[in-house]
Amino acid sequence: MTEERVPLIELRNITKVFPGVKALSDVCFTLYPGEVHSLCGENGAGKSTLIKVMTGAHQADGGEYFIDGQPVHIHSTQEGIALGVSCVYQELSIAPQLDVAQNLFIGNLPMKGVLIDHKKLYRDAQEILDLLNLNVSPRTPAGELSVGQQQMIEIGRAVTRNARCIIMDEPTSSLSEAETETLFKIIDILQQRGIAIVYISHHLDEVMQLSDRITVIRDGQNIITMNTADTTQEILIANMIGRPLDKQYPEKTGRSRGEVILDVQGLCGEKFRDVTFQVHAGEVLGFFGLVGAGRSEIMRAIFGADKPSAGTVTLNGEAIRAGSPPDAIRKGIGFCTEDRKKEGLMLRLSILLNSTIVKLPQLANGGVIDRKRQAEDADRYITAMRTKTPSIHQLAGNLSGGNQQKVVLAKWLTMEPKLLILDEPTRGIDVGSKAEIYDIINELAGSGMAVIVVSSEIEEIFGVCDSVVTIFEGNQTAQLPITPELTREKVLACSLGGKP
Amino acid sequence: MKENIAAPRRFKRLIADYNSVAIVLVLLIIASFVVDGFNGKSINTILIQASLYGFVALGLALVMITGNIDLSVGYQVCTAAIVCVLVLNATGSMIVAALAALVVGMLTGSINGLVVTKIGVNPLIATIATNYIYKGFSYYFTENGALSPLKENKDALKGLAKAQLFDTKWLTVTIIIFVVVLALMYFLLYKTRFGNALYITGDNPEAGAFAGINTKNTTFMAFLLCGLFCACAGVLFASDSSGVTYTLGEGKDVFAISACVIGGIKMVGGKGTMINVLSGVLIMRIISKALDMLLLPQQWSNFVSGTLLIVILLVDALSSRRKT
Repeated sequence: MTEERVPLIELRNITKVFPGVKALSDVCFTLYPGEVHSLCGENGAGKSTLIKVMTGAHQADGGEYFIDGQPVHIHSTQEGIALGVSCVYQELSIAPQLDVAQNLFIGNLPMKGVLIDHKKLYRDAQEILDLLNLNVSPRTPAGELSVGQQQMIEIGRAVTRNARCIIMDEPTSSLSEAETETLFKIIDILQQRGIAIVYISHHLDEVMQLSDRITVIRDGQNIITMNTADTTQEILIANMIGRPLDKQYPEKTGRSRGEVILDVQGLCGEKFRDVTFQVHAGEVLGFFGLVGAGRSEIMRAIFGADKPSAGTVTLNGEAIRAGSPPDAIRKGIGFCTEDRKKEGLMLRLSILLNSTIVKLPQLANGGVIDRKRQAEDADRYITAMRTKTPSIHQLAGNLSGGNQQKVVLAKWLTMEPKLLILDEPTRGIDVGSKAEIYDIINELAGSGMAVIVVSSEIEEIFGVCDSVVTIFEGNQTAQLPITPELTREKVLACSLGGKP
Repeated sequence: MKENIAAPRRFKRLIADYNSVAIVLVLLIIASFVVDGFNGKSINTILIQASLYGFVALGLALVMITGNIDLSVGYQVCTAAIVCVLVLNATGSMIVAALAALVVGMLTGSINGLVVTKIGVNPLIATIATNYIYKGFSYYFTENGALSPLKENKDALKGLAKAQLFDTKWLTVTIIIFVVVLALMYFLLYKTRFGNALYITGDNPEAGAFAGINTKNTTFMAFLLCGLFCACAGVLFASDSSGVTYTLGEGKDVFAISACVIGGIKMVGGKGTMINVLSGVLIMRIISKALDMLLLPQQWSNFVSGTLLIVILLVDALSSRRKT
């Protein structure tokens, strides 16, 4: 049936070469009106490059590009938008001071002569909001919306530009579960209007649930295009990494629970109350709850990034001074924060400096840094984690997400922490790197380190943790050991406020 | 094996990192052809001037690496110069006078640092405000437009800038002081915790704080050192022109910002090296000297130096775009 339809977009044998790298070679991709077509591949496989060719941000060095069967040459994203190809990027481009309507029609405001036609602006904006089932006023400043709502505004913006193809790059990476649901509903609405969606996500369950077809690319080449109905997640993963992934999670062997490392008693803060738990040496403790339940805030308080209003944090019997990260670091707490780019990395500085930043006090003698030892230390951890980079002098911003996360891990491992807190350690990371991060966590626990893993993925909690604390609206609802008898339903129920 | 691969890459990086040095040489060659009478003596004048102005650029560079800006450098220079002459007249000792000026420099720098880090005022606004304070101070003590040393102190004041080592006729003490300080700063930025903290603060203060770096202290120290370097410049300027006029504070800010930006210091922070700042200073001084010698009317020389600045920045932008 699809054979008779003219594809909305057709890419034939697209090749794109960057100095020293062939990012895409002979890639083909077709998109029919009204379909959701997922693009899968590991970080660095060429997904982003392909999208950029589609939107006009990059020009292909070879191959042909057809829209509605007509050959086109798109030289800029503006031209792409004019032809109906819009993209919603990972990094939002919302003007926070402008209101919703102005954001929807940014660069495309309805005019009456030389003046903005405000009446039409707000009327049209309301129409779009109704269409997307969004319950916000067009006059609300966009900065007051949640991240999820801002993303909906970006999608709405594509609709106002009569987009016929909307590309979504990791749209759910910063959305709560409820917001993700809303997004899926919106995708459905768009589909019914004949708009085609190119969907990119590391969450393969979303890919399986949403898409009509899936195209996998690896190392800049087409691997396979399949109908979602005819495939499974395992087949998809095998195609993405080029081999069957025997197991996503390593065996939890070689861990022996030692003495208490971290002791948290009655910790209270603005967004959480009365949190009490312990972590032992060689134990991986999971923290599970919805986004916004207060998990990250608890971790920030333990680390001293925020000052708790009550309660104590003790590490190896020593009290951690409230509100002082340097004290927490000195006493042996490492903290990989949720937001790698904002709180974890100096993107314009080298891997070398990024990975040794917390160890500088030990590397410096009277303030002067031992550059040789610094390089050795960085090299040791960067190599041990198989970080893909030409050298440790590379800027951190040039690495892919998975490799950036390894640099953040290296940063904390160089100081040999007694307790390592990992907040959403695999967010935005591809399947292959995820498995490597899990291996690292397993090895650390095996070596006797105490580890806390904060996650909103239930499988991750079951895959790597020894026990789990559930958080619901700032309250600690349960602490459960992960045993074969423990069901996912029970943990989920506790994270939604149920009693264990 | 590993060394062999690394070596050419390191060489390439060296070239890319220090291409501003090439601009200096190109400008010198052009000047010697275009400008009548541009010779070794002119270059010497450029070096001496660069060693005075250079201190201001060095100080500002530290602040800019942390992602901040200091628009009060001009009148910090002037304030320190005035203190130097006042103390010299009161005590008769040039050493005491210079030290007093340096202390005042640290004080003005600290005020900037405190306003920015403790009160949290945007550095642009904060230093525009403090600049007025230092300007007011400068005007107060130069009531007739100038402040001169007493007759018996004149030689002591002039001695510093005029002093030459080994009677070489060109190697002045100011050049030597500047080169030594430059070398120290290179070491500070490249090899010390404080230097690293400057870059970290400029690149991502939030991530720095999470890694246990005290970014506020680092910013404060950058402002303090900037004040200190401005004071060094102030003492040398006072010595060079054996006195202070109230216009000493004018134009130093624009000069220093231009030199830093030409030298690859990014306004957003986190980037820049001392060698390139030196190149920036030399480039600015060469242009200025060449235009002086061409005897162009003031409005034309302003026009030419502005245009040249844009051209240099354009070349820089184009070459860095090709790299990415």
